[in-house]
Amino acid sequence: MLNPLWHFDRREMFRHLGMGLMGSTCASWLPALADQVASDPRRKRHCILLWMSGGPTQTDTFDMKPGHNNGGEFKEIATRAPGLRFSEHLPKLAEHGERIAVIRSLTTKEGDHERGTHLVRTGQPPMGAVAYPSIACSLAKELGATAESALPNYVSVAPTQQISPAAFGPGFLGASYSPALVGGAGAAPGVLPGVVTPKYAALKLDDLELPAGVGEAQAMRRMKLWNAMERRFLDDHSAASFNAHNALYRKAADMMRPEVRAAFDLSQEEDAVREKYGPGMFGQGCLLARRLVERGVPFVEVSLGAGLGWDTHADNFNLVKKLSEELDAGWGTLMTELSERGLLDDTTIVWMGEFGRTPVINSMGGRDHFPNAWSCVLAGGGIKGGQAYGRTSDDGMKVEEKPVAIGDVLATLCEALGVPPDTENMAMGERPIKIAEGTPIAELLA
Amino acid sequence: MRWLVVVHRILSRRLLVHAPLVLAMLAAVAWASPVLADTSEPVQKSTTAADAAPAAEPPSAAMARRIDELLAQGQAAAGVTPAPLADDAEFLRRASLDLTGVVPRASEVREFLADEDPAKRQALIDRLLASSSHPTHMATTWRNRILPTGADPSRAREAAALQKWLRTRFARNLRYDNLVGSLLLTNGGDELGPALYYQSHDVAPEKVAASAAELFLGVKLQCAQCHDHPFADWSQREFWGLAAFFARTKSPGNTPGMMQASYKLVDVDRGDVTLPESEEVVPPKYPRGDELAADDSASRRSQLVLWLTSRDNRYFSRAAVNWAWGHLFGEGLVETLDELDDSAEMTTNEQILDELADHFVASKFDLQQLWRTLANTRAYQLSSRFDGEKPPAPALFAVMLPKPLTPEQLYDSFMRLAPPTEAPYGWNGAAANNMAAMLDEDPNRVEFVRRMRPPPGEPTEYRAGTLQALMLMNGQTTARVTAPQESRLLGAIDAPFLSDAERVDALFLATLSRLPSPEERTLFAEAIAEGSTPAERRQALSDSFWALLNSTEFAFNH
Repeated sequence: MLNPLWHFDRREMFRHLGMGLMGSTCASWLPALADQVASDPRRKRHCILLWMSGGPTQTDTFDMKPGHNNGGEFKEIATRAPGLRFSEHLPKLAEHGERIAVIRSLTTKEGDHERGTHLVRTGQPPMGAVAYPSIACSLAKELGATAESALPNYVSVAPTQQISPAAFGPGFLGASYSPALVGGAGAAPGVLPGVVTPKYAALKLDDLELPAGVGEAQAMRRMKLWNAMERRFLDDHSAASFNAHNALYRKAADMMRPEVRAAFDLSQEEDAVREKYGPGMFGQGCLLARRLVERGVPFVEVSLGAGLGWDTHADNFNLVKKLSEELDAGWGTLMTELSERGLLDDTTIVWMGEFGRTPVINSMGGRDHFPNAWSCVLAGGGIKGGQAYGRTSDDGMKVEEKPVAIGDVLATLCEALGVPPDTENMAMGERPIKIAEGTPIAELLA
Repeated sequence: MRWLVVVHRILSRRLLVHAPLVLAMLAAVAWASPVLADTSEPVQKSTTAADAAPAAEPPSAAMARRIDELLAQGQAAAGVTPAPLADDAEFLRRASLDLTGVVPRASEVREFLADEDPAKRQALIDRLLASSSHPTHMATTWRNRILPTGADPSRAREAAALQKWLRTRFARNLRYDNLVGSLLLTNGGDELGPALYYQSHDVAPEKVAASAAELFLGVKLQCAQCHDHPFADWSQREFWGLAAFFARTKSPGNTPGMMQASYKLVDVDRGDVTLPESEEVVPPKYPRGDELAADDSASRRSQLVLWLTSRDNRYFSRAAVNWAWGHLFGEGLVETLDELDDSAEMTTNEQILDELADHFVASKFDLQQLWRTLANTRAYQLSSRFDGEKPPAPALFAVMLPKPLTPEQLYDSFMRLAPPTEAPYGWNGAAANNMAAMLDEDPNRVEFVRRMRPPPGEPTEYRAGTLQALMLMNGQTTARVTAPQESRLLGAIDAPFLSDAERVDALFLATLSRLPSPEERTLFAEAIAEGSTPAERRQALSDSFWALLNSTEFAFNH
């Protein structure tokens, strides 16, 4: 169903604005329909960051130590790629082994959630004079720079930002490069009797819908009055900044158009599809990521482990089994569907958290913070899959081959996306800052 | 003995808490610098006979005239006719936003428009400078100015303390030289707030030096950190010579992440800077001046402050007035003082800068008088509208440059129109900032500002993104202000004895600080009349309110 607001608005625009001051802005605004957005040829590199809040265990996922005391309960399984083996709880991902590269020799220096999160997401330790942007904001800025689209350049699903707010934000790039936040309520099993539990997590983009209590007719009147005010004001005031403000509002209004909002409406997907991704925030977030990538959004982030879900100091194996199942359903299905649509070659997927976990199992059956030797994963576009890069010792306690610093991972990600890692932005005081300081790892690049 | 009195005063005010610094003060007094001797004294109202005479013109008026005279010369030379004067409503809104950070109330607009006193603009400027929102706005402006952009939100507590510290000083109209001196000489500890300046620059000599040079000398020295300044003769050595003054200020025992209720700074007797990638120690040297004489009796930073805030330091006073000018006019008189060369012939703007700096020094660094001078110029009262296709060059100040409202100005102006707030309203995707609530800061404001903060850049540029626009269109702040049932304003103007035209007038006055044009009045009155039930009418009022709040006109100080 089409929203009458936008019909009205467009007619109104034609009637009032004619070829006046707004002529050029108007021309670029009107035809931006969602289908054209999706087929915009300039906007084809995408990144999906799967953020594992709390610090995921490498030993029970991508760097297993079978036969060693540190190995734990889980078994190893083969993947499509010879020699590359994952945990038994990641069977769907194993099917995509040839598109997945595991970095097993990542080593960092921050073992605290806040500091680790900042380091991994910005490439820089916290507390400096420069407010570094998260790599996600920097990449979204670069990948989105050439695209004229109604959709945001960076959409983030249910991030746990509180732990280190600065690590999730645009820093000196400014608030306009912030992620568009998708929040929502998870599918909560076993709530109060009589309350209908949604089958799937409901996702909603901040401020995209009309505020509660405001109907379509009202929205229409608002825009009509607004347009009239704008026209009058811009007729006899001219400044580039005035036009920028007006154009931005038009772009925002554009995002509210039903066909754009539809990108976020997961009820348009078949039940069977929603089921495959898993009912939780992560699974449904992965489905949303696929829909957004289809529509040209350059950067999507989906978090797994609300709060610090991967922080498994106790009862590691039960918790990680559940998390792995959720991870495998969401990510595995995402790989399949992107691949079926021919989008996987243009989409680079990153899996990481703030640090790894101790190979040694503690007395509570848990694993503790461990930045010395841990894993992260790159997959899809630009990545030479089917390999594990670097190696840890048999007990998993130290890196034995090809140590990798976080800057190298971020630089490799940039290269895989076709963004030069030494691209510079100006921080306060005209100080040029590279988006990633590190060396891309050639062996990981396709 | 004068110096004994001074020392006693210093000690009793606990400004300085350790001996070397007190010794430095004694040394300072000995060579009769007035700067620190007057520390923490607010600017005194002059009581000379000449000033007391009713007919006497305040010194700010003569300076304002002189500025206009010089600007007129520059404009004439460029063949530019300045824009006409802004009308009263425009001027009221502009001065209120610049000097108090918030739009005027509807009642203030009505009164101002009705006032027939020809000197009402001068009177308004005095009123705004005396209002309690003036020091608040100055504190906000300075806090944003001296801390790095996007400073760590986990330091909200210290930032709030800094705000308070600054506000107290602006409220007393503390001399500018003393303000800068007490900021740079803070020892933290019980004096909460100012140490955040050092803390957010990591107490790193080169970071503090780069920031202080830009803020208080008007010189961008960052480039000279790594190499000689590309287009001015500031050498790398000069930069590190300045940094050396901060090399012996440390923060003992502060570990990252701990509660820093008593973040302390101490001056120690060792610590040096070396040129990058070399072992060569650079001794402290005043920029474009002498090396610090070997004298260990006073801390290095206190000796820097003596030099920095001296009335003979032309960079210090010029940087101050250039900043104040930019605050009101959207652009400084000169872009930077990097290249200022006193031996060369001055441009018009350099000449204004020079004379204004002298005026500022002669006024004993009286900030209020500086604002009064600038706001009373004809230049500040020009319209932002101009005739012709192309605007005159901004540096001619022949037309007012529009500035987007800062996030704080926007929020505070919204709140003038909002029902009283209670709890934080639960922002999606981020926990409400409870820390802010504990510090008497409105947590909704903290979150609003965080989401609206533009990147660093020119104050005249509009740099928000679609998410910010969506937030203003559909977000909770706007929804609360315009909610038909909650809005105080809508409740008040829905009174039965008002006509729809009067209702529209009230809405315009409250938001755009002006009366509507006849066409606007008709357009909005018709929209309101569309409602056939009281609820529908309230709804239509709410929609009108929304359209005004989201207009480009509202978003700017023009």
